[in-house]
Amino acid sequence: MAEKALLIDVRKCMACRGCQVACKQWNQLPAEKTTFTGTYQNPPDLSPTTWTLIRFKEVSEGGKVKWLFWKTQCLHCTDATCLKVCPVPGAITRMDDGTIYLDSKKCTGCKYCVMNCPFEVPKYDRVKNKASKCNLCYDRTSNGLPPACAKTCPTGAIRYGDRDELLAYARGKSIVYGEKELKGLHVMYLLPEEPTVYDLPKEPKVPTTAILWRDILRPIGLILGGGSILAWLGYHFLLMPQKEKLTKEAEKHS
Amino acid sequence: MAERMISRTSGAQRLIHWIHGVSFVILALTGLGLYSKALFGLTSIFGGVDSSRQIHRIFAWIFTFNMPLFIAVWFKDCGIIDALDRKWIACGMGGYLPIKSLYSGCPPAGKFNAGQKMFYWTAVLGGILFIISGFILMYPLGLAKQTVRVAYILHDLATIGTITFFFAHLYLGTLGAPGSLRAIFQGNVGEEWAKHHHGRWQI
Repeated sequence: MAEKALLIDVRKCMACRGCQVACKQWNQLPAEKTTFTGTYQNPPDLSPTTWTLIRFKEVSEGGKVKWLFWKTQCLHCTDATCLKVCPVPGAITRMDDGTIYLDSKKCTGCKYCVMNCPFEVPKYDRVKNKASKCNLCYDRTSNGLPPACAKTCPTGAIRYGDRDELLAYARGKSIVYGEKELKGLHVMYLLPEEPTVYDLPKEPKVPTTAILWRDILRPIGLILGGGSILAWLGYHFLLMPQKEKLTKEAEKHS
Repeated sequence: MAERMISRTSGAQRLIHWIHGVSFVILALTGLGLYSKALFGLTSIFGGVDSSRQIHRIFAWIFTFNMPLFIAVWFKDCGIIDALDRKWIACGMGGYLPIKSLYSGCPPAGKFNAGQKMFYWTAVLGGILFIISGFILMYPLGLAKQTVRVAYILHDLATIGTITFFFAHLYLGTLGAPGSLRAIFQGNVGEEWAKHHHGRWQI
């Protein structure tokens, strides 16, 4: 199956927040009680019940104020850190279209993904003891429908389709974010400004501690642990008789 | 005439050792299931991931409270490694390794040999590392993410260090040195066993 992706054309977004509402409606996520803090950004951050959020930022440049807004959610990385660190088989899976699917039913609430995502996307629900995030409406896309946010976007800022086609469309128009980052993101941006203006890391990486932990330390541990058992079995059956012999000889001489 | 039995460990030492050991095994079995996807099957022993996790947390507290008692009650016997202990180590671990050239001039071991003392320190330092990293992992919310990420690595290092040497401890206390097991159960050992394995021990 061809790789699919979402392209967020920030130039066309008008911050209507229809995408936030559609996401909640389709995934049956409850509203959150919040307080007004001087921005339209609401709720204040992604949460266990808010899987996509329009972030707002005011930037002053040469006497003029720019009011920026952009959609944030899971970026469905090819080199997904959450997938690397999740200890439960089947709780986080890479689907054949590139979606990184977090099955909350299998989630055990260990928070490895929450602690390691370079974009700080998965959020932990203390009451349910589960992590959750955008799943790119896999239940819709696997049935030929676009994700809820793409369906509802009135300006066409959120486009869903074949990743290659979206990239071909996007290249040359403006700054593209997500073509090669983390081996390719399945939620990409068409940005009018540099990624760092939108709080997107210029070169996002899987955290070094995660690589050290899962790719290096874990296999070493399995080898040492298993090796230790084998070593003692080997000692008992192979070396111990030798040692007994040498001890007896030494005692005879003394 | 029956062999004279020598008292080797006190009641307190044995009780605290067993609380430590049983907690450690349960913590290992409930924790290793999340160490690697290859070991995920271990979570079924205690009825699934959620119950394994709860049991791990309960025994984490038991292990933590027992730790200072453990450090104190075994320090006199196992905490101090002296010059003769070092010579014993250089002697192929007192003859445990069958290297012929090392079989002369090996000093006898004291009440506890250098290997046992090294294991005491492995258990103590590993245990302290487990406790610090473990509490960060139990209550991570509010801490900087980088701190939690490093705690994962420290917890794993403690796991690898202690479990690897734990198998040695298990083997040597049972098959590896017959006659040893009663020291930690009944608390006494045979006189001949004591003279043979721990010649320097003033019984």
